[in-house]
Amino acid sequence: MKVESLKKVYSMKGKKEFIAVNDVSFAVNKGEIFGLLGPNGAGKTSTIKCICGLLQYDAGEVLVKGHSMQRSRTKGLNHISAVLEGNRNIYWRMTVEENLEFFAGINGIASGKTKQRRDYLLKQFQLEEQRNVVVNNLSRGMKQKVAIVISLITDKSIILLDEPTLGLDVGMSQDLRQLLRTIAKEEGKTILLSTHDMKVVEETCDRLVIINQGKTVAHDTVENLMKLTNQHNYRIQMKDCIPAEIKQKIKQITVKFNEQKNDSSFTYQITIHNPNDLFEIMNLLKISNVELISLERTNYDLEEVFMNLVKGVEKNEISS
Amino acid sequence: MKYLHSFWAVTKREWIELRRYSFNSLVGLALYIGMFAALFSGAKYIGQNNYALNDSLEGFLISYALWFMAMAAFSDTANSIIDEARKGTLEQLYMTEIPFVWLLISKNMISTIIFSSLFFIIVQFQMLITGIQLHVDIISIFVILFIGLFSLYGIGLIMAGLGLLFKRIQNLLGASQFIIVGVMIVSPTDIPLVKLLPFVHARELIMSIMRRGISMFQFSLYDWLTLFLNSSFYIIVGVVLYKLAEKEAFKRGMLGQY
Repeated sequence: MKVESLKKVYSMKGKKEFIAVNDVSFAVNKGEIFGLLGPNGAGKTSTIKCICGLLQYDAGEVLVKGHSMQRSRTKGLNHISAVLEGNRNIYWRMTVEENLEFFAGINGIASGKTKQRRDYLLKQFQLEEQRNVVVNNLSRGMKQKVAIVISLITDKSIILLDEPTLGLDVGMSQDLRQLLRTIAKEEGKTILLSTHDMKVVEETCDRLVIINQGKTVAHDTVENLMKLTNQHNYRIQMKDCIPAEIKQKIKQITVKFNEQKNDSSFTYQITIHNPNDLFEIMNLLKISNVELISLERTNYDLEEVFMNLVKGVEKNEISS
Repeated sequence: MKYLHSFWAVTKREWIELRRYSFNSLVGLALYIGMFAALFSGAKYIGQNNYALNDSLEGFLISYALWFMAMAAFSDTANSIIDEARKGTLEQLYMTEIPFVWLLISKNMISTIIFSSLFFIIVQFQMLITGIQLHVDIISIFVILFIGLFSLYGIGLIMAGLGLLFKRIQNLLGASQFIIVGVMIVSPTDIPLVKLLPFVHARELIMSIMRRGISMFQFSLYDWLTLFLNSSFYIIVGVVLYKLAEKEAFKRGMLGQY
């Protein structure tokens, strides 16, 4: 699945046009879990809907197995199923089983042919007991699971999930993340999920694209992205202020040097290129005769990486 | 074969909803019959044993039952699309390789069977209440209804298209009830152009079957052609206008909003 220079503009009545997606490009490989990350209103849902063929785009192209979702939408839909807007896309007045039969049916698959797959998916998602329960009577998390099972019933190769963990409690969200990993691994499905939950991306995705205000902020593997800002960061807490000449020498070694005065101590936030530089810094601190309280490595999690990137865009520090 | 499976899936869903919410449907039916009984008693009291009135009461009885049918058919398409958009399921229906219009036509065919059954039940009750005997040629009536109702589904599609784009159209749907009353009353004998309105010719044919005991095999080629052309015209116009609205909704991303 390829998204090339995608652009979506909404015409606003009496107002300026609103560019929801601006020149976004990425490709998702077979069997990969790909994250589309961004804050609320970043353009994630618009991107997903363009991929589904539910939203007409103004420029660029979306190709699903080589089929343009603008020109040959029906052919592209042979390979895609989606869960959009949480769990609104299912019939709440019907039971879990009835929903599964219905969605398989409207995709042209006979009820009898999906029996085995229904059983398998309900077991996999621990929904066997809820099989004959009307969806309306299920918890939010269960409804979300049902929506995902429905997207899998037709056994299409690409699954699009728009905010799959939205509104779920911690336990259910973790449960779902585990399930998504299992599906991608066991069934070889290609999954594109949009979320603003960094935990989901960190734990499930292989690669991701971060978008903000419709533009690509970052596009890389989760691992690389974390490395990007995870240079060697240390927090050093000293009893007193380091003498000026020592401070000057440390500054020459470090990439970043920040001093902060606390009530009864001084905190130094430093970033170095090479971890071996730390030996030199420690020697300098030793000769400064200032008492060392603590030294710790500070690692960013993806949330901080994301916040830094998004902040960067707002300050025009990072361009797409 | 795929189309058949999707038709069956839609049939099953309609049946599930009808069965699960049968109490609601029964209350609606009882209210319609109760209202008819009240109207009929009033009319009878005013007219006493006037023969001309008795004659027009037959027409009133059929028109009332047909009005119920027409209302249901007309609002069924519009309401169901608007309801699917509100619930968020409309987008899922657009995510299949089977065209949405086919799913809609499938639903309309099932609805016709349901509405026709309700029509026959209402007519039976009405005959019981009034003592008026009509010719209930089930097959002839059903065939005419099956073809004729598609003209109203066409109008329903236009409304649904408006609903997709402008959202709150309940007032328009409400007002259209009175337009349908008009369609049920106006006679093509007085104003021939009225025959061009949706469902008017179907209504005239059903009147002939029920009042004069004419079978569908006795209708002229002109009658059949008028019936087919009328329904085809309105359903085609409905589909075309709905498609235009749908295109705009795709552009504005309004398929999942209400």
